[in-house]
This record gives sequence, structure tokens and C-alpha cells, in this order.
Amino acid sequence: MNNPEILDLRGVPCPRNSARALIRLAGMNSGELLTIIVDEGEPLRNLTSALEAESFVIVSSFADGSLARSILVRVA
Amino acid sequence: MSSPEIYLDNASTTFVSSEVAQAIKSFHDQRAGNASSLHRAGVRAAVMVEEARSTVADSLRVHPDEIVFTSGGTESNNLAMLGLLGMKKGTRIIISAIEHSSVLNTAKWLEANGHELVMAPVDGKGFLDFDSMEKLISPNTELISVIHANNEVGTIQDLSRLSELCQKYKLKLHLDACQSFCKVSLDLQKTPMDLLSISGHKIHGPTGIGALYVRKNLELEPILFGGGQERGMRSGTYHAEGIVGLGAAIRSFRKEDVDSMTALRNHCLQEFADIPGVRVNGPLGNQRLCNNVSISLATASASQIMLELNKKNIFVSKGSACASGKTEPSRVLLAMGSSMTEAQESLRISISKYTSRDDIDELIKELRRMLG
Repeated sequence: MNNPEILDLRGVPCPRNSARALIRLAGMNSGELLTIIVDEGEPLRNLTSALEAESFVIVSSFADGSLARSILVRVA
Repeated sequence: MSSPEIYLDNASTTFVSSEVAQAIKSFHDQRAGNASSLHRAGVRAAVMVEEARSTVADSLRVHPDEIVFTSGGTESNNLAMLGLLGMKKGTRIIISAIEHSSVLNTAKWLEANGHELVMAPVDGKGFLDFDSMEKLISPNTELISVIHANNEVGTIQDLSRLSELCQKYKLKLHLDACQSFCKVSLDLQKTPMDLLSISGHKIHGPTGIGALYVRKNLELEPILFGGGQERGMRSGTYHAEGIVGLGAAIRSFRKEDVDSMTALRNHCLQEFADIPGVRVNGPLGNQRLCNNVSISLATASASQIMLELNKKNIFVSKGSACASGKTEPSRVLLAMGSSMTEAQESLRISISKYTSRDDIDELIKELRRMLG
């Protein structure tokens, strides 16, 4: 299996980060995975909420040792 | 029954295309919220704003983060110049002698507030005199601002040379590309610059929307204060429907549109060469904007001819639109060495992608009759 694509949204303000994630995901096929790196705190919460609202599945979420978090999203 | 209208004032503004109108309707149909809001309706708007931002960025071959949305070309030009130099003193600004009023008057404001303004001359066709421009560069020069394609006579400046000159002296380059955007290929990877202004309503987008390219790592002081949108450089609620319209306008502008406008422009210029008392202003060929025809009348009043054409439902402008209503001669033509009469009695015919051969032939027929 190919490694998931990565979208780095660190430093991108809300809700532009959510918008960019949704645009990228809209161009992907069902079942494909996308790793999104996003700042912890408010940006992470807002992004997660926006993805779930559009029925994307968050497969996993892990801290990367910095102030950001990587989340793995699957296209439904 | 009155004849159908022939609109040939597209350098002033263009009609909103059906593609753009549809995109704006679709935006409203989706009941989008404020593009800065975090709820679902806001994110829906933000998605459409970001798609349009990518479209603008792709058309210039730059990164979306380098695009700042504004209310149009005038604001973009103001933000570029005031944002860069408004908080400083004592720099030299070089502009060309044929800038649009929004650059000229911003530069004059900067001059009145502690900067030095010098103007680089142009030749008889409106091309920058690069040797003279280079001699104007001083140790305190910080910015060169030039109109890419002139709004009155359509002269397209040599962008590679301009970019190289600015790189050589480590100067900031601002390009006013409001007239040339989508009509002339712009690749900022090949011709790097710092700032570039565009406008929506010149390309069949809505009025009230424009953008400024701001090179990565270049910070501008804001000229509008508020909620800190656009990385703090341009506060104010996103004009999302305008932004969506701008994106649609760019996507629906095709190379074939440029080819068809070029063919009509050439036809028009050829015909005008045969009409006594008509002088074509500006260059011929591919260094002229594809939709621009500018002429001076030796034996007739341009105002009178414009009004006579208006009665025939043919709409052209006298000089530049921004100067219309005033009686002053065109300062652009004067800077190009035209006589006072030539500068006073000039008409601009500007074509769009919707202009037909019949439209141009009707104009030529009427002009021949009026000037014959």
C-alpha cells in the first residue's frame, strides 16, 4: 500500500486550514488516506469538527513531538 | 427600432460573463456564511474562497499563500505602495510616466509624505526607456512600479528586462497588471517580482474584487484595519461572492479568446490606417494588448465623435475612462510625445472576447462616415 499523501497545515489560520483540507479530500477517491499535520489546540479542534461534519473518517491521531498533531483521514 | 448596442469600452469594465454569473448564483444557492466563521456554513464559504485563491495563484504560477484579496485594482495598487513604503521615509520611488492614476496619485501621496518620486520616460510608442530608468536608480531607491499593459494605448512593457533590472539593484518591483491579466501570459517563476495587482471586472468578473500578489516573506503594513484577514494585510469580511466570481472569470478565459481579440484588433488597426485624419497611438503587433485600439483624430473632436457613436449605440471612450469627464489632454499621450491636439482628441476602442467582426465593421463604417 502506498504511503498516504501529506497535507501540512501548520500555521494556516482557521478556517482556511479546514477549507484546504476539504478541497484536497474532495479530489481523492473513496478509501484513500490523507495525513494532515495541524497545529494543536483550536486549529486541531476546528479541523476535526469540519472533517467529521462532512463525514470524513479520522482513522488515527498522534502527536509528532512538537506543537502539531498528525491526523490520518480516510475518504468515505 | 434602435440598433443593437456595440460595447467597445472593455478596458473600462466588462460585462459579467454567464459562467461568472452562474458561479456567483451557485455560491448563493449554497447559503454560504462568512468565510472567516468556524461553523459549517463558514467553512463552506472558506472552501470556495480557497479554491478561487488557488485559481488566481495558478494563473500567475505562485503559491496561494501569496495572494491577498482586495476590492480591486486601485486598492491593490494602494496596498502595494503604501503597505511597502507608507511607514518609511526618504526612499526614492520610480514609476513610469504613463501609470494609471491609482499608482500615480499614490506615488504623489508618498512624495508629499517624505519620499522622492521620479518618473521614467517612455518613447513614442509608450515603451519604457530602460537606459534612462537605470540612471534614475539611486542608493535610496526602494521601489519601481510599472503598468504592465497601459490602459490607454495598450503598450506592453518588457517584463523580463524590468525584472532583471530590479534584481540587479535589489529593488522591489510592483507590476500593475490590471489590464494585462489573463490577456498576457504571466509566469512569476520566470519573471520574479515582489508585488502584482489584478482586477476582476476587466476579465468579465464582478466589480469590487481584485487581488494583490505579495511575494513570500514580504510583509506589508495594512492600509485597512480590522479583523486581521489575509494575514493581517487586508482586514474586512471576505467578499466571497466576488472572490468566487473572480475565480470563475479566470477559469473561463481561454487562449482562443486572446486570439480572437487579437484578430479583431488587427483588423481594426488595418482599417484605421486607411481613414484620413486618424492616427493610431501605441505599437503594433504582439507588444500591444490584444484588445486595445487607441487613435487620435486630426480633423474632428473626439468628444463629438464619441457622442455621435453613442447615438448609434456604439460605445467607446475618450482617452482613459478614469480621465473621462475632464477636459485635460491625455497625460499618457503627452508623455509619449504626442502633440496637445493628439492628446486631446484621442479615442479608445477596447474589444472583449464577446466582440464580433460585425461589431468592428459597424464601428469602422460609422467612423468612415463621420470623418469622411
